[in-house]
Amino acid sequence: MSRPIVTHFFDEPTNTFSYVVQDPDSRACAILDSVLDFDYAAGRTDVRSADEIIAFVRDNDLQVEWVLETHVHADHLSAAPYLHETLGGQTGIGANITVVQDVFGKAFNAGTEFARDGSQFDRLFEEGDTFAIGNLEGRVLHTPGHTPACLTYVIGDAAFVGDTLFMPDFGTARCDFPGGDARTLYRSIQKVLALPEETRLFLCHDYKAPGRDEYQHETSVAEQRAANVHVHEGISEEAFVKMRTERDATLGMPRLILPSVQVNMRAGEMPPAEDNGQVYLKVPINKF
Amino acid sequence: MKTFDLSRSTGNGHPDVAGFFDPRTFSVQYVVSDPVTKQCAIIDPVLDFDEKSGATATHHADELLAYVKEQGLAVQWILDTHPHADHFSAAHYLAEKTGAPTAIGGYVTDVQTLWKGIYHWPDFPDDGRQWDQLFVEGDTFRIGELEARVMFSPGHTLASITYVIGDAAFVHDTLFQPDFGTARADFPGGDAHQLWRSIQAILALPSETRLFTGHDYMPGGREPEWESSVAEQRSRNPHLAGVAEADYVAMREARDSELPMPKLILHALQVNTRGGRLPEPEANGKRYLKIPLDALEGAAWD
Repeated sequence: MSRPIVTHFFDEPTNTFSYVVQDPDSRACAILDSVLDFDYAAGRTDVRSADEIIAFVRDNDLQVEWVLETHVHADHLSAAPYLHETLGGQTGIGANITVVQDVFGKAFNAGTEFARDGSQFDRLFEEGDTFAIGNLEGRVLHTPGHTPACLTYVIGDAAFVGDTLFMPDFGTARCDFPGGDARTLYRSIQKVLALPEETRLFLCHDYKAPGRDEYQHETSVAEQRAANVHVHEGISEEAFVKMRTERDATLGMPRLILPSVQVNMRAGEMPPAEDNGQVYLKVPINKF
Repeated sequence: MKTFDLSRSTGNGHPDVAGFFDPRTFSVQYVVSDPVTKQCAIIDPVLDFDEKSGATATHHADELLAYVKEQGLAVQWILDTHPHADHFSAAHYLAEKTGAPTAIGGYVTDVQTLWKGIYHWPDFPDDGRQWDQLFVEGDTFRIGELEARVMFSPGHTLASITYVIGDAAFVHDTLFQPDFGTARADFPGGDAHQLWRSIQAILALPSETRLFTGHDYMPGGREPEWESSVAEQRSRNPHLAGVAEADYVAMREARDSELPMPKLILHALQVNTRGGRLPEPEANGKRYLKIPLDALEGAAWD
């Protein structure tokens, strides 16, 4: 099986990993889950993190074929439009983005200019779809549960699992956002764990864990089956759902959920400016 | 953690001062009462807000109302020292609950004009009509038989005022506790020179004057505190004791340049320039705050 070259980029303020996935036999690559820096207090954005990815792509003379998202993130803003504009390639996300757009379009009272049909992306992926990164084949698993639109991208021997599994000592993603569901997540995780056991799994987040002082971004199907504290082999669907639901009830909302989802539902574009030329994000009061 | 303390009247003409600490925003709210007539004023009440979910609540304001009721007090005034950048004011909520008039410093109209532009509210009335009373330097009023006087104390904001009530002064964001220092002066409309002069006017009050601050950040992990005296501030405040104006301004500006914006400034000003009212609902019946992008420059990255 082909073995892509995977380079990770970590954004510590949001604990997010972005990736550049490279075909070893050509210049082709894909960028996954990029981050737009955001200072919520002052309402400022920056492209420092995205510029690191751009510098890497240019230093290695790579050709960007895809700018992909595993889902509509609730903890950081996507830099996909900036990367797409600077480096080219096609943007892609899961086809169920339309469900997410419908929910959040209503929640933010977005105007009719906001299309709920996913047309902000070049490609909407469904279960089983395939795509090429040079000579590498990418394959799509629909892995909802954290959100209705979550995908896992399987590229050669590597799988980019988004917010499904975290490191074995940390566990799994929460399921209490609008459209999330713990039972659905359990079944999605089983799909990921049914991949060959040597499959490299690349995570979207890491938060360290008790007894571990370093951030980690990579594990394997075998390690997850054996040791994931939430879903190792032998943990039943019922037990997982009970644990996940109880734990989610104790979690506060992520700090950037309200800014993130209204930007990410637009494929990372800002809402339209008001007639003074100023862009505003919206914070719905007493809605979530 | 200590979140309540009562500083009793020191004699005739002086108030009882109950302080209520909000650990989420490090803010101190006060119920200032006349022990003789049982009339009181509420100063700088907090409307709870969770910026992650966008939820509001009235836990702290209701705690103030419960205290008022339990002590048999009557609310005569609901006062803000300035339009806060770190929490939402509960003034409007408490005015609806008690019927008492609200007040703030008269220069709040300049703050309204400034933020009307930032929020793009072409129809917003920036004439202070959202309060019942706008106070300026030297104004006096009564809380029962207690005499209250207003000092204009700009610098942290251009509308900040200090309420001097009997032997107690509510200095909010000028001086903090003497082991911490002074308020920042880098928000839109802030000015370190002005803050210095406002602080000097407060330090010219009688040395035994009880000073009640608006925030406490618990340096070194100590318990929250909010009361000091003019004498203590003069001798111990590290930003002020033995410091000249030019040195203070240089220290303040250098320090402020390293501070990120307070996490709620963009949320709070659109509520507090409206006297603690939430924005009007959109056509779907829901209320939204607005977060202007790239409108505040200069602060350190958060």
